[in-house]
Amino acid sequence: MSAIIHHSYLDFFSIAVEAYESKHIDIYNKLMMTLISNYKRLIDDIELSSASFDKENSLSFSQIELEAFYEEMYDAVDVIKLYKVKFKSLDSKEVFSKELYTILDKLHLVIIENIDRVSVLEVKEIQKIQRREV
Amino acid sequence: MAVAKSKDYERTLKRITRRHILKIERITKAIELFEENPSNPLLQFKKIQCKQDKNRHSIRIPNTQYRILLSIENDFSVLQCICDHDEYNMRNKRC
Repeated sequence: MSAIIHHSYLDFFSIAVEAYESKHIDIYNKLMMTLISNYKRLIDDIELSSASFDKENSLSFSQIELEAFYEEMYDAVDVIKLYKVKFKSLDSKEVFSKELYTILDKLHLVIIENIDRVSVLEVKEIQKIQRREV
Repeated sequence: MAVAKSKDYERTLKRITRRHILKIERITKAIELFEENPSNPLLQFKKIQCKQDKNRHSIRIPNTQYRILLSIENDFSVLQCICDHDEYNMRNKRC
């Protein structure tokens, strides 16, 4: 899976916040709309990925892929947390700010669920090996 | 009870200890208490309803808001992850 949330998106958000503070509302609106649509698409992709893991009984990742997966997903969670800190400079009642915040909450949830699906499969693999050894 | 650690557990352990959120000794102590006696009241050991993993349980790292998710099968436990209250709820909400 490619990088989930680029840090550059966070930079876009920082520019959007600056635009909002300096009353460049057109720039702010465009950046926020772009971020919102990108994250909506990302949520759909991650939910599809989780649904496919639901149907699997074994994990197809190598140990290296598994480590890279967790690294990438937890990094994405950290980026979401950084976003939430930056939200403090925006008006929480402003329509795009409110929508992006809701979407980031949802994104946080689907990423954690996706990690959990993979993690459950990993645990099952460990239990399978243990059963064979006993 | 024998205990194994998943890569997810190792990753969450690294995440928490590197940021000095919890000391490794505190987490290790919780696991030792669990190995001695899962029913120790300090651990608030409980079973979690989860369709993905019917053996899912959790223990609290005493006096913190962190929990360890684990899967128990035939006296063999696999530590799945360490999570705070919010991520604990997210993991178990639609499990």
